[in-house]
Amino acid sequence: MIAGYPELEGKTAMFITHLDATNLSTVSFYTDNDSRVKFFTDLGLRSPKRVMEASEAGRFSGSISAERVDLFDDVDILVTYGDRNLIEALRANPLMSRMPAVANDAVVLLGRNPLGTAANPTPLSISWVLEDYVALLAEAARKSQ
Amino acid sequence: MTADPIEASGGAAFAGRSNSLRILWLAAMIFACIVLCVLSVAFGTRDVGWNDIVAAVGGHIDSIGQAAVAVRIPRTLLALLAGAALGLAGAIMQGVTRNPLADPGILGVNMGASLAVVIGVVWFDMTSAYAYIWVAILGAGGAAVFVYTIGSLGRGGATPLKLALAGAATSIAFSSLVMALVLPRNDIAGSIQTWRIGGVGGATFESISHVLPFLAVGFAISLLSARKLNSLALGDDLAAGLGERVAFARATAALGAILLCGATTAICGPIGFLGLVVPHLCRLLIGVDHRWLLPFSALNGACLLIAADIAGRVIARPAEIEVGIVTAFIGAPFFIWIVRRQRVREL
Repeated sequence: MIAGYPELEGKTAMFITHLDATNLSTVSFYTDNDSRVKFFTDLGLRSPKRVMEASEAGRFSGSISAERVDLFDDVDILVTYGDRNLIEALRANPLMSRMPAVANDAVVLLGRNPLGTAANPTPLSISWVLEDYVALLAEAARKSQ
Repeated sequence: MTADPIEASGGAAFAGRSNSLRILWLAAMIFACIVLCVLSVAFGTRDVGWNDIVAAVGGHIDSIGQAAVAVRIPRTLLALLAGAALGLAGAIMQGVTRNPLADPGILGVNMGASLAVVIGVVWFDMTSAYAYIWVAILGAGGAAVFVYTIGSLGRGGATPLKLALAGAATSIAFSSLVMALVLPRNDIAGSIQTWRIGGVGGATFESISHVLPFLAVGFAISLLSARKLNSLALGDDLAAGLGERVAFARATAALGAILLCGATTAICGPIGFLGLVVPHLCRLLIGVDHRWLLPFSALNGACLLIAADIAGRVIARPAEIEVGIVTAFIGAPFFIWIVRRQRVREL
């Protein structure tokens, strides 16, 4: 199935734990030790440098202040929970808008719908959401080029 | 009204505190505040050169360094306002309840505001800033009334210990309720968890402008209650004998404190321990006359919160430690020290 989306190959993806439009001062992400990010590897995506550094330390998540947002320059795709309001808040923020993924609008948004569970793949959910999830990721990958 | 009994017994070194000494402390605190504001804009998780700082203050956000400084400016302003509000609210709560352990966090007021906000977000999809503030104020007021009622049950009325216990139990109960509400909501669980730690990271000029009118009214009501609090400090009977309407005085002062706490919690989340530590520090320096104590507590609270925010941004690079955690580190040992002091009695 991944073969149908060659644009995913080699792209870096980062799963942000949460981003609140009212507080964009920190970027928190899941590391390779978390199942959500492990699923990315199954789809042929890589992890950016900061995520790999935090993973080596054995942690499940890491966080970096928004002032150092240039540390995320190698991130192609962002995945997070939210809606369009969040995207607009990100683009309006002087620091967050400098992230290449935000500037290219290469953000996959999960909401309070079945797709929201796509991030945590279980044997039951995979057949339901896998196609939609991969399609969204591929669309973000295309925008990041 | 010459020798304040508490002042005289509080330590010979501070007996007979003169107004000139108080003015000196006030000036020193204002100076410290200005210095801390400058430091807060200049230092953070990112090292920024002087040119970038000057450019950012002038309004440019061309480079990432300038953008970082530009974000720090409203953050510093919010830390100043929130610190002043919490320090002042703590001083008022300690004056109203005559309880040295009174603090918005310990009396459950912060938690009440948090629970109200979480209910609004989870059940009513609340997003407007004004809704946040009003709901937080209502929650803070409701919790204050609730804790005071429970603490007044039984013999002896609202003694310091009973109030602190009622507040702690209520905080824990509300905290569990918040967790129960948030658990099924995977999408906002992370945001609410971060918000509950309490921090000034979400500061923008727009969000500050929403909360400013509430803070202004809260500051006004609180600072005008200084004389009433002085009378209340003499005891209910003596205050009534001096012509003070005790219940009304308590209610207005408490209203000011609740406005300040609610508005601050709405935008920053619950920040604890500041309202506890600051009035005690100020009493050591400037005495128990509320006409001096209240403004000084506000200044001191502002300084402490800005300093805590700077520390949180500098210690854990490239991550940040939220201000709520830093104040807990400072406040918890201080809380233990207060409780263990020989003369923990009504103020």
